Amino acid sequence: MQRYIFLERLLKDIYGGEMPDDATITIERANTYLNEALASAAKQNYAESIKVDNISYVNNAFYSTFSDISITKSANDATLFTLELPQMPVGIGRNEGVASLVVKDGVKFSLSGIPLSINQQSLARKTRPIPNKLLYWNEGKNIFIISAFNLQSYKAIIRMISGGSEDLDSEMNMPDEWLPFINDYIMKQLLPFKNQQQDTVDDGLDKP
Amino acid sequence: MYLLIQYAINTSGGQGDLSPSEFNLLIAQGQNSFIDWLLGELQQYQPGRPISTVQYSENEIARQKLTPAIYGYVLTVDGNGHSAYPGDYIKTDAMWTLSGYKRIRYAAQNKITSFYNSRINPYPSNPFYSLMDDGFQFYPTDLAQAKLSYVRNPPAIIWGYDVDVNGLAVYNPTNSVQPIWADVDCLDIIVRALRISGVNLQMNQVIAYSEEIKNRGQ
Repeated sequence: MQRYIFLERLLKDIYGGEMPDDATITIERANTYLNEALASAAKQNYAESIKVDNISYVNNAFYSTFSDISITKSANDATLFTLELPQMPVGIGRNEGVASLVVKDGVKFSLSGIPLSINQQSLARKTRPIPNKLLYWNEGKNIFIISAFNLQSYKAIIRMISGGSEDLDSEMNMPDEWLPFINDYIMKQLLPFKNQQQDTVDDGLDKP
Repeated sequence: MYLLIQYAINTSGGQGDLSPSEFNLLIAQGQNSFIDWLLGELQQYQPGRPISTVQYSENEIARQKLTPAIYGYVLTVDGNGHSAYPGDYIKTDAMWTLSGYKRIRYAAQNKITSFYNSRINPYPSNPFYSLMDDGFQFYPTDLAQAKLSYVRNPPAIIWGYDVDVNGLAVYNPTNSVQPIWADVDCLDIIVRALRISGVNLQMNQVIAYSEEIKNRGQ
């Protein structure tokens, strides 16, 4: 479902009909909650997978692939490279937020990188880089890669949990059965705001 | 309307003729009172309960009663984002961009900072306006034009006349201005005009008088 359509439907539910011109909740505002709602749905899916299958995983439908991400070489370490992710990865499990990292040079692709935890990366940094292997970990929105060969001219392809582009005309990357969950999540954020008494008196005082 | 008011005044113990100029004055105030009522009378606000008996456009009936006074207008916005009010402007009904009917939001002065600095709804793509003493102030200032729907002062109801050789006022349709309101709303205006003249009649009494006039052929 297109993001705009989903949010328009949600706002019409909140307003009980067509949105008036003086509506304070805009579609753009509702859109700011959508990514966190999607992340919450992925976390719920992860928790349910442990309960049901006793194995932790997130359903494939939650993942998106981002291509042509530039790689920067570290100024202090010839074997360390960084790239910036399009969005903050979801904090699920040890590092399920970023499922895979591949680098490409035109038509050639590397093997998937080996994900490290924060504890493992300190050990990996002390050892010699493994030829033809990429070791990586993420910190916040950045991914650090240990590589024996120069990756600066390569582009990265990342597969991570994501709801897709934040553009309102884009399709939401979300299985349909999770839409009610996301709907409820965003409603819970917006309804208290709508029911909040507005400060309509311009008297220099904050509303009590 | 003139005959009806004259008849009601006379029947209620009033004496003398109501001159055309007196009628025009009374009916103008009756019309103003009617518009004020449909816009939501502030006098009816209670402490902690700012609600009038009839609120502006609160349902379709109230909206449709006011519709004869709701006009569309294309505002020209100057390079500073300013546009003067239309001459007969009372209240904004709605405001949109010229193409695409994208709403232009209203911002009271104490909310301009929030609107102007918003990163969720940046003002270049989500225009808004505020009200100044002499017109609208738009942001962004390069809007050029805007579509306005507004409540305007209705044309004054005028019973136009000429004075004949005997000094009597004779109705002249050319100089007259007909009411823009539906007939049922004209009765409401008449009731209000009569109240101003000191004659307090209910609507059904006015209706009864109008039936008498019709039957007697005055």
